[in-house]
Amino acid sequence: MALTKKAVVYLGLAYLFIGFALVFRQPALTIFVIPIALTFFYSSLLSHIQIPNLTITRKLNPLRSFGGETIKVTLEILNNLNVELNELHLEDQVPNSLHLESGSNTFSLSLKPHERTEHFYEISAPRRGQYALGPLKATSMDPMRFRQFSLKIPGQDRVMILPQVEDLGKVDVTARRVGPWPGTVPSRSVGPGTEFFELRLYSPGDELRRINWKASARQARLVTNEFETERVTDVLVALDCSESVLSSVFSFDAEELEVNLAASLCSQLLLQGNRVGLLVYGAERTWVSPAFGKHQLLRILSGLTITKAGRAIIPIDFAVETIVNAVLPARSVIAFISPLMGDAIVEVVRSVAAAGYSVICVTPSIEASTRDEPRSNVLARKILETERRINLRQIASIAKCVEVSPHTSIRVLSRRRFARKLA
Amino acid sequence: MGWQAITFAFITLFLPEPLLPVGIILSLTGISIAIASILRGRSAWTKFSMLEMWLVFFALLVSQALTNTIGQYLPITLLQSVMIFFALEVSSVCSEFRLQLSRVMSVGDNLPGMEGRLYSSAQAAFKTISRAGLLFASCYVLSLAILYVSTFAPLASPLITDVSLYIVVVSVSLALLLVSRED
Repeated sequence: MALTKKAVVYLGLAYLFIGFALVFRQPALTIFVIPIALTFFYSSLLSHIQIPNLTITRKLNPLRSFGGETIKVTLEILNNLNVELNELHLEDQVPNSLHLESGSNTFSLSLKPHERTEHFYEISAPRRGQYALGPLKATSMDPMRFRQFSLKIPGQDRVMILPQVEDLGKVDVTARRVGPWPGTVPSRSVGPGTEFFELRLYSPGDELRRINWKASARQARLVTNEFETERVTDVLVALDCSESVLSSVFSFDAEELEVNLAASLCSQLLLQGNRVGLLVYGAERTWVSPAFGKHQLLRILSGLTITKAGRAIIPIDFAVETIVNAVLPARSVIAFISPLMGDAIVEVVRSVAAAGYSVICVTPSIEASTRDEPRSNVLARKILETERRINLRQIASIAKCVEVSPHTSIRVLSRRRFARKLA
Repeated sequence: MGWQAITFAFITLFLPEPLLPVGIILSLTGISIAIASILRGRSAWTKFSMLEMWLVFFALLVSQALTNTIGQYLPITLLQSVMIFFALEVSSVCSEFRLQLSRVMSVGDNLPGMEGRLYSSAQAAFKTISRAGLLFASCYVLSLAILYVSTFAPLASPLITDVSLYIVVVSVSLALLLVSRED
């Protein structure tokens, strides 16, 4: 049990009166200590603090959010004691980065024996991430509020603010290896599909609607269209969130842009039926092995939620090659989302392209800085920009590259560029 | 707020003439801050108003000590100090209740069951204020009794002087410290 600020102030006053009595040589001034002493004796000897025994259940609705929406937190509090708890102060620990929309995470209540009650408050998160709510701090005080007993009731719940997923529209990718299931990736084999492949002579049993009447008229014999089948493929989205993403070359939050882009790309590729995996290279290295479906999207988004940019422990080439060799079939697709800074990323792209993988590179674009900076900083920025441009040119010769600006909607970008450049 | 105004007026009334204008200004400022703190719900302003009250009280005490009239006005000064303690108690309880009220008002109808909790909080606040009133009243009566014993006892026995009261109070204060550190 600890003294409250109020008790300290009262004690200070008592000794101030004694000091006054000494300074002015007026012993009668000490009489002012008596009321303070009596209240303290009343508080300490005649009253006692109830030590709470509570059971807390926290419910979050929704458990996951895409940000910008309100999350309702319901606290169910049960008094396990056979006695009444009076004026109990409760505080649910909420991270500072979360905004309190309505209600309050600190409140006072009195609970009858074995009474169950509920408390509500609403929060919102401005930024992607995983936030822990709790534990609940319960403080019980004596009637004069001179002494308090605080205890933390264990139990934390996590709320996930997932990255923003934008609708990219159809993303065209090409792969040397395709799976057996129908999808959107041209398979270089003849069969049912939508893309024209070649003409061949009609053979009995061919569907009438596949006969190319113009070619048949020209050749004076029946000719039918052959189509290229479209299948699914395996795609690994490699997100480079190393310290270079925090470079001052980018005048915007390149980390968020990359994460949102990875989320949108994975979502769209999964929607098109592909098997998609994720590798995050940054301060916290995570990877999700390729799989299909909505559950996989949730796994990927959860992985992206905890992504933090920063210096990684192991080199990027080792990280990428280890995961690629372990989980990705040969000649599949690797989509790099990277600021393309440093020599290592060029070497990685070169080595995976040489190993037969189809490579796509998406990179945040650099914009002219409007900040007033010292000459040395401007020079350093120009050197970095030039290095990056050289890297981009080198990678463009072996892979398909797209530059993404934060000021353009990803969907607009997809219409303009993905369809053309990523094809 | 009403209690604070009464306490301010009661202290100012006994201020010596040279200090009276300063006392009135401080009291008026203190009362205005107390009103503003209630209207705006700022607990920091309440603390500031209480600090002003203590300031006026200590000004009165020092002036009495310098003019050697402490003994003459001691029961009244004691009552003033107890009134300040009670005002402190009331303002802290009221500001806490107001905080709860504002939380409920901010969420409107979204929080079912809050009205009941608010009602029980109001009841608890009323109970706390009543208990504090009773406690401080008995504190005043007991202090007054001790004061009279310490005034008349030396007449009966010259060994018991004001210094003995000082020793008693210091012992009580040390005991107080021990009690507060018992945990």
